Amino acid sequence: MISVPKIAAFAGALAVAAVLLLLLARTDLGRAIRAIAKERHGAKLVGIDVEHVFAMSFGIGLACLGAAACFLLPAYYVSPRWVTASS
Amino acid sequence: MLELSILFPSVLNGLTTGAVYALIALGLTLIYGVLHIINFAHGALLMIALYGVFFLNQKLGLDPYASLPVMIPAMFALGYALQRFVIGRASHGKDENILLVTLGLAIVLENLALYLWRSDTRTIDTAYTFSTVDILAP
Repeated sequence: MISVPKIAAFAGALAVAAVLLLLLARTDLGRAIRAIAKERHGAKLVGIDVEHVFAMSFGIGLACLGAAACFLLPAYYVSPRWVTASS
Repeated sequence: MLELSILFPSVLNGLTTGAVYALIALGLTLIYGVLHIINFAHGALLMIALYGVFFLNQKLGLDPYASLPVMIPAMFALGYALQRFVIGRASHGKDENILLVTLGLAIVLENLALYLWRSDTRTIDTAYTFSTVDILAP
């Protein structure tokens, strides 16, 4: 027996991970992110806007959080000490 | 005694919880891989996102799953702006500075939330919060 919000969270997390994988593998932004992760100066030399890609990857990282928050809240709780209370 | 009727739901429970934790870690590791910094504000930002979902539900009556198309772009925009105008601006390109800026950001966000919304634990009631299904029940 398992609760419905948790199944939805499982499926949703897999879906978001798949979208992220496609984004990293197929798009120009994904290629730029992988290039910068591997060789920051080389990426700058071939004309990738490093500051823009930094901000984009930070944004994508937080977008994952936004999705995770939607999947978490039906089954969990929130408080300002969420971070420390749950660890 | 190890009983299958206890073990199997526990495994399912762990898998589903772990999937969400993996999703959170995915964002953390993406930021770590590209910026080569550990984002200490990740937990605090998750808390902000949870409050976003909570208030969307309370003020606008939005279902948590219906708030996905709102929360994902909103958090993306927040992250873009944070890196562009706060973390990138304050770090002067030094990795150890970024580390400190995110740690400071975590403290600021956590205490701002404490000040604005009090320390009550809150959750939302949906029709499906306590609904369960049987999967391969022995």
